[in-house]
Amino acid sequence: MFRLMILGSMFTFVTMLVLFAYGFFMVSHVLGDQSEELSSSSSDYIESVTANQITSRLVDVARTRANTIEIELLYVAKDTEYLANGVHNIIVNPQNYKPRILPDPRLQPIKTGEVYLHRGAKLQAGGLSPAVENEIRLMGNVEEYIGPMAKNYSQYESTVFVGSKNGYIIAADNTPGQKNVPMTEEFLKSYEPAERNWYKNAHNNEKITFNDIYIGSEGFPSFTCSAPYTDENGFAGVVAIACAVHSLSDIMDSAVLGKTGLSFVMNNKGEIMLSTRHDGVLSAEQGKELSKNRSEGLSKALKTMNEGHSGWQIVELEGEEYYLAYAPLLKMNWSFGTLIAKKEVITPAVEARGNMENEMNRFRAIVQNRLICLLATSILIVGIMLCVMFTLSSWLSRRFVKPINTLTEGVQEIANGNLTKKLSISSGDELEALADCFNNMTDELQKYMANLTKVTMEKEHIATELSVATNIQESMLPHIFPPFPDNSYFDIYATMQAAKEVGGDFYDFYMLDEQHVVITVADVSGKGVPAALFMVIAKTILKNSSMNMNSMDKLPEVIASTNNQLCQNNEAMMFVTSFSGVLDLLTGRFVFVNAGHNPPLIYRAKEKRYEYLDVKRNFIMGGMEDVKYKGQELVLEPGDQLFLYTDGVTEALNEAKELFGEERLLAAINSSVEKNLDLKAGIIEIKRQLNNYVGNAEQSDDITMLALLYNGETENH
Amino acid sequence: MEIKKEQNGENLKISLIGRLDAVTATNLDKVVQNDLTGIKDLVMDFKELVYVASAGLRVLLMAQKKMNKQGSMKIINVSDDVKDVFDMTGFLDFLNIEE
Repeated sequence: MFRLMILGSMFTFVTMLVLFAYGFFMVSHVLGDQSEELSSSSSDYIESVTANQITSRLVDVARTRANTIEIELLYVAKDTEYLANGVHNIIVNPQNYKPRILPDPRLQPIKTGEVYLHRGAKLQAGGLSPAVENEIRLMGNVEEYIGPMAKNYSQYESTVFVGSKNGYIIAADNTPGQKNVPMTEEFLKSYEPAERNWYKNAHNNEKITFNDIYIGSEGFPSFTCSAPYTDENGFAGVVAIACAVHSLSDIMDSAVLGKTGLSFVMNNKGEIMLSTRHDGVLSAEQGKELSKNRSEGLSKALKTMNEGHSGWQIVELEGEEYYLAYAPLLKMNWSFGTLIAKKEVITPAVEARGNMENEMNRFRAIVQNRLICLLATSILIVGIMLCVMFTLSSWLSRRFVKPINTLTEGVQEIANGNLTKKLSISSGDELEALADCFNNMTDELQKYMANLTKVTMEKEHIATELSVATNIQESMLPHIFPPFPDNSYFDIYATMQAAKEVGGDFYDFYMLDEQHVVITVADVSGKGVPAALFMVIAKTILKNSSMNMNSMDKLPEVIASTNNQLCQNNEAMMFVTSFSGVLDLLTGRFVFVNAGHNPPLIYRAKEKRYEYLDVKRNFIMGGMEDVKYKGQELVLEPGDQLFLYTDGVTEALNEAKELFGEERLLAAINSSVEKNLDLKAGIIEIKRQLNNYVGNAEQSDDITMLALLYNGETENH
Repeated sequence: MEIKKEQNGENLKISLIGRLDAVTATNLDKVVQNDLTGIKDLVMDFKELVYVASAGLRVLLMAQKKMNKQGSMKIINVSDDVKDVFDMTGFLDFLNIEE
């Protein structure tokens, strides 16, 4: 059984192991597949999210920067318009102004922010007409506008100036970090305002003009906003504010994303005016040539930008794909664009893909390592458990099977009859209890067998004594037949067959004298030793009483006397039924007393058949003292017979518990008569018929029969 | 044989069912020895008694003698077979048998 349990456990373990291994390989496999898919999809996702983010951010940047630049420039434009109006007011209202002399840069150094008046090359060469001289002195009042305005731009490289058609300029230069404004020789000698683009543009446009960025005389790339002003006669000159572009560079730089990012401002002619790059097609230096040298995508994009749209698209630039976002500067008809290389944007996603794959591979390796560790541990544990189980099973079998074998052998030995065998098992469990039970059982068996032996011996002893008693009892009954071989007047045959070893029935016959014979059949109540003892007493008393009888007519008195004697000290209430009679051998007169006994049968030779004797009922003997017994008498003719019996005959039971009965007895005895049998053969025949009737049923009572044949006086006598 | 007892104070009714023979008489003997103490009126019902052997007669004799000292005893519903036995043994005169 334990081995079966072990086998079951082993099977379970091995099954678990196989399932585990299967799970391990499945997990490992799935992890491999999933990691690739996951890294691919996640990096795709990152790419698309990144692209979305970058484009929307680029567009956002483009819009805000375009807006910011426009506001910056419009601020300058407002100042420019204000300045133009101021100059116009001074010119048309000379009566309101005193002449003012401004410093001349040719004569003295000009401090930063200081308003000065510089005469152009023509004026220097041709001299001053009085009208111009007056105008210059009047225009000196422009200082009131330029001075404060220049202060507003003092943090930038900037110039606020007025250029007159008459060939002079009034200006204030801001040169942060320098006390005096550096003046070039070229500027001081050959400067002519009307030749400058800002002047020409505003003059031609006749309105405020945003000039292209140009390299200013100070060496700074500058943006200039210019506007014409008038006097009574119309156009009189141009006012302008030039700002160093690097003030806007901050704005442009702040729009640049990443390492490959760049920002640019394009004018309405499709030329790059401002760029954070200093080389390449989108640099300010080469941007003027843009119309000749552009890719199809870029060309389209720039066209869209020129048309004043905002948005984004992918363009190819110098062999690389770039995200380009743009927004218009509406007032100027310019456009702002910012770019970033797609590669740079996607790089994180590509890196993410790589990282993800690396991470997944690392994770898979870890999981596989863990699983292998787990597998190895499991195999180790299973191995250990199997070892433990085998050890345990052999220990258990030693512990259980050995005592059971001991028990089996011991029990077999006991079964073979060795009750002194003691089982010695000290396993401390149920087996020990079982062995103890067996030991107790053998003890009990031994005691029982000893007891049984003793009882059997006692029984045998009693049986022996009973058989001795039976012998004694039988020897007390006359059993020599014919009893009186010399007496031809009568013949007697009798038998008594006890149901148990010692019977309660008896018969008796004896000669009172030579002429009288007494016959008795009696039945003591009950059976066995008490009945036998009482029977002996009854027989002895009856015979003693009878022997003292002086006349056969005294038989009733003899019975009464016997009754009284039997009643004395009869604590056990034993009693006896009897039929006693005295036969006068000479006359055939038969005196009899029936004390509660079965009626005998009488055979009349004349009628050749038996019939029941009509008897008077007397009380049994030993039941009650002083009972009167009535005697009866009849006369037997020669050849007549008497048949006395006890109720063991009539009350014999067959297997169906039916009584043999008086009628069957009568039939049996008459059938024997018809066969002309003698006394002994007749009784044997009746007994045979009785035995046939009883069959295999147990004999329930003593069976006693006595037959008497009266011959009367014969010739022999 | 079966013995049924119905006691009501000093009255006891014993019903015998079956055969009162040498073996079963000992059972009735125990009843007579032990259960008649204080009984004034004993009734024996022989309605279902089919046979009485001599050993049974002895117990009836003892019961009758005992009851003669402390009260009365009568036997009822005696069958013809049993009555024949009583007749033959002279018990008819000794026992109080109610017809």
